[in-house]
Amino acid sequence: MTSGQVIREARLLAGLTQQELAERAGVPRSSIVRWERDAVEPGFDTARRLLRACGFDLSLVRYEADETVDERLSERLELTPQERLLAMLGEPDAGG
Amino acid sequence: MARRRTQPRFDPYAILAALEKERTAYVLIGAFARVIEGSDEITLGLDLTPSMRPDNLRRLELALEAISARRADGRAPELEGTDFEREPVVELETDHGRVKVVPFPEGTRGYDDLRRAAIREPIGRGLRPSVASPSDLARMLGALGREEDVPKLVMMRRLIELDRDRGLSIEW
Repeated sequence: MTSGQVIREARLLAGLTQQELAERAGVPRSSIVRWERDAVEPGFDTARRLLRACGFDLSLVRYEADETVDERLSERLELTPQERLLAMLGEPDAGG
Repeated sequence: MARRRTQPRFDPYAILAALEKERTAYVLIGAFARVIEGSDEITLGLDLTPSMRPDNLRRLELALEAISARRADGRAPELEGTDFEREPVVELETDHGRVKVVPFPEGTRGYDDLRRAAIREPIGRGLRPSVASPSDLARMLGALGREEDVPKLVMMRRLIELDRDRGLSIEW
């Protein structure tokens, strides 16, 4: 997930327009646009300030990285929605 | 003394067929929706966000009645009389598995918000339920803010990235 996607998601979750976020964070709207498009990478402090302006903050959450997830997900993406569902249900006619 | 019910086998096709028969407007969300979109999870129930129009809630009630939906205490769903501010999730047992009715999932404004990006997915047996988009599914997980959901959220994010990398839409 890119920093732009994080900022955009936080803004949408907060129900803010780009202009409103710009005003809250004290930056030009054009900067918000560039950051959300990942045309420019905001620094850590800037990204944190934007998230806080949306009512969020950064925190650390420990989780066990699963090295096989890409392989498993790629296999799933090769299946049709029907095959994915049948695979979960354990039906014999599931593909993959 | 309440009679103990045997856990029914999860049959989403029977649940969705009942919803389809009554022409209920809804969007599938949660783990069941994530599985259809490619997530590697297992679930024994389905969650849905219905349109809150009164006529649709009546159709949903009829569909749920047809599959003997009841609350944990045995009461009928009675969705039209439910105060969803106090009870944001209505958990039901049916003849074909668990159903959760979630009118306003965390991080969304409900049905009208989700249906815009939802995808009608062909899942067989003539059914094409409306499924929340992968981005919306990730948005809901993120908004819940639960630590136990982090691996699922990471999986959904990765799923979206992998699909983008393939240069294909997840829609079939």
